[in-house]
Amino acid sequence: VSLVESNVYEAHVRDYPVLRSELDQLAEALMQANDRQLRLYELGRLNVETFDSQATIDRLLAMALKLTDSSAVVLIEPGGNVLRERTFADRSLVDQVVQHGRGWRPGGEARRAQTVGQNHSLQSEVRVGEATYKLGIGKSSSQGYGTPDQKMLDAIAVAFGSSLKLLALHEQALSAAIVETEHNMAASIVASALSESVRTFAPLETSASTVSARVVGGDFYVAVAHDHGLRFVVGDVAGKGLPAAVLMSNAVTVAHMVLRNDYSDDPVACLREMSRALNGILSTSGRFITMVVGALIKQTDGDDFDLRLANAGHSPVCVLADQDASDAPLHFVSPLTPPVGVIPLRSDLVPFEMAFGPGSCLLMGSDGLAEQENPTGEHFGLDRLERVLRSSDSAPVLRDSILEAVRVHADGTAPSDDQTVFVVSYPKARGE
Amino acid sequence: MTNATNRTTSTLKLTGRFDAHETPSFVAKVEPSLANGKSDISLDLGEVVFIDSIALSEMVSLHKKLYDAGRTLYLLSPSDSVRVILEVTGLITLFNVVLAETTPQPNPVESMR
Repeated sequence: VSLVESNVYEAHVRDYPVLRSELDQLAEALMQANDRQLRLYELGRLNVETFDSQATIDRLLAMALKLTDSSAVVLIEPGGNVLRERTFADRSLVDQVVQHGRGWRPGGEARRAQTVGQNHSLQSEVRVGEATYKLGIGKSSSQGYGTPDQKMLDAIAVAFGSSLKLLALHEQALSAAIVETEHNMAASIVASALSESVRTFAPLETSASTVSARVVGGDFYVAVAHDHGLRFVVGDVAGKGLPAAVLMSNAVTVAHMVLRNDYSDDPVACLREMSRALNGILSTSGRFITMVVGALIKQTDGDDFDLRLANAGHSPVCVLADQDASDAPLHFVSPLTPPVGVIPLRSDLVPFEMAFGPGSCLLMGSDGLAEQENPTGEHFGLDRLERVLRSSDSAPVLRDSILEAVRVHADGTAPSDDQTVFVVSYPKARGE
Repeated sequence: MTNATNRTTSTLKLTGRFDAHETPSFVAKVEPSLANGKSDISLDLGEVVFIDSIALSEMVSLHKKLYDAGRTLYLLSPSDSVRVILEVTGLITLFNVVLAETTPQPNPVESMR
């Protein structure tokens, strides 16, 4: 530029008009190139200073206006809706940019640049993953957009795409962090709710444990000893994660209260109270809880206990009368009613009852045991569970044997659901 | 998952695993039939190999919505694995289960109210 304006230039080209014309064009091209360099430099400095997506998009649109000397800029979603616009122009120009953008397809028949009277618009595409947005600019001027403007708009569109991808990645990372936090929170709720050790009543042995799945579920158990026996609730909230953990925590609190009432030797009455207390929150959340409520009551005229169970859709619940007798039947306790939260309990429910003497064993598990798959997709199943149940006698050994058998069957396949074992056994006296 | 509608019943056929991963798609598929306010809904479960508690929750929720609107949810020809789960949870007494070659009939016993 300084060359063009200098006296030296004037002195040398005064008598050569053709040369002067070419030099003027060269000077103009140099100015434009310099100008574009400055603008590209400014574009290169663009970075995402905020992870607020709206603020970032606004900043990018402002940049597009400034770098292209335009007075309107519009970002159109893949479906054709206007995601965001920024303008200093009247509405007709914005409308033109929008209509032009909706009708334009990369490689299609519609031209990238369009002029209607004094209004000019220019389009480019912004790729974000599989999605393609349209970035359109507009201005009212005697001169339309040229090739340098198209290249500038393409460069801005690429910067736009990179920034939006960065935002998307950030949002994914944020979601993962939230999930991780929720998972940890759910795990701590579950641990807190199950922290109280399982009570027992001599000579009965009780033992319980839960192996959590990657996303914790809503398995729970509560056992309360009293002056003539043992009362307990074992349950599973439908679902996983924080919602299931919160509902499970509620259920554990309710169970602790219900099991301490005078009527609590009657499992149907306990189940009815649990249902009454939890139906509201379960109905609101659209969930249900499978649970079995039970009592083992010491008989007044002997060493045996009376076992009473009220099963609301829980599985497996099974009782073995004598672990040493290979022909002793294994009773699978059927549900009296669907899970709590599904329907109000009928008034005519009758609990499962049987004598529980030396050698007897009661197992209440969760569906995560039988449903554990091995690498070929085969479930652990109830038959394998029964074989383990007949092979051990003490509650702690039986609990560990079941969980170990499930783990061996899984052969590295991650549990898809929590695996809970709650065992009550009545060991035989030595020599019996 | 396929959807077919006749004059009174919309039928949705489910295949493979019906679990927490599939329930959003299930809810989206069933929503138009639920919103039309008229037809009953049948779920063909003959080719479902596994069902979990989340999927059962969605079915219970759908049953309640339809029942409250005077409509009916039918479970068509549940596979053995689904039938076993319905039995051990006691939910088989809630749903209107239709075995193959029979005509859907409303369950006269169960009441949600």
